Amino acid sequence: MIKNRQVVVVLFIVLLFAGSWTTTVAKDRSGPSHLFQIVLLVGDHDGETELKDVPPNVLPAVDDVRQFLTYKHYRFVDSAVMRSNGKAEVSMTGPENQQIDVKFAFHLAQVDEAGKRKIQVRSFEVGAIDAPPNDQGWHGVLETSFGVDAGETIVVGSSKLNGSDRALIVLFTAVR
Amino acid sequence: MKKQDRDEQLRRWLREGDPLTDAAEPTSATRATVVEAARQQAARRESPALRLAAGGLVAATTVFLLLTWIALRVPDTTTMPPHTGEIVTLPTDSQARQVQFTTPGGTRIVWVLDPNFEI
Repeated sequence: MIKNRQVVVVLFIVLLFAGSWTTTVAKDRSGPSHLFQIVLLVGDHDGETELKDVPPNVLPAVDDVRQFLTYKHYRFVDSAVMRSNGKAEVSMTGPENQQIDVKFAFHLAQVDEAGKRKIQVRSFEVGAIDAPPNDQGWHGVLETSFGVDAGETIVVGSSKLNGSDRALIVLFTAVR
Repeated sequence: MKKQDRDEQLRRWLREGDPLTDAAEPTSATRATVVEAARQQAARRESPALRLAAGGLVAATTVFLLLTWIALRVPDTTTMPPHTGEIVTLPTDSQARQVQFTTPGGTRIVWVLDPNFEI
């Protein structure tokens, strides 16, 4: 009877080890870390265009956006670079000095036929905490999911339906 | 030849070919030792705990290999959004509407039109 108990205990430990090892293997499949760059812009119908602080690598995307969207002026707000292997979150400074939080999860998808690494970004959220005395807690500004190639800059933006007022523009770059 | 004669002849051949024919009979102590050793070996071989352990080990190894195989073979079910440059409206959980398009320069834009947008 004692021997049987010992065998059951040994089996339990072996299965426990197997389960944890398998989980580890599954987690490792989330892949290596990746470098991301986030640049915040504001599109507005008033004010002035101020883009001198925009990182050079996203300038072509900014030019594309300026030709495509209807806002008269674009203003650089803040930028950040982060490395992550699954989830990322960064606090930035917004156009009115409020706190802007950008958070997302991602996984590296398979390499396509052209040899480009695909990255699936999900739960990409931007939220704000207004600066005092207007602080009313965290509120979401935009939320979406998208796919991006390694090395690509994708523009994620939000505005009211009719495009009036101003827009928050996020240039999201999956750096190599 | 009768069956009895044939059997007797076979026994004789076996006795003649047995190298221990002239050896001394084993003592009772030797017999006892041999019998005890055989009994212990049989007991060990038929131990249910050992059999269970062996079976359990095989089962655990199988489960382990199966889980590993599943973990490594789980397909990547997440699909990439279209990359065609056409406007694609995606559902969102609020009043917001989302469109995706590509500029002439090739930059992809994901735009969320939200009546409650405030920044």
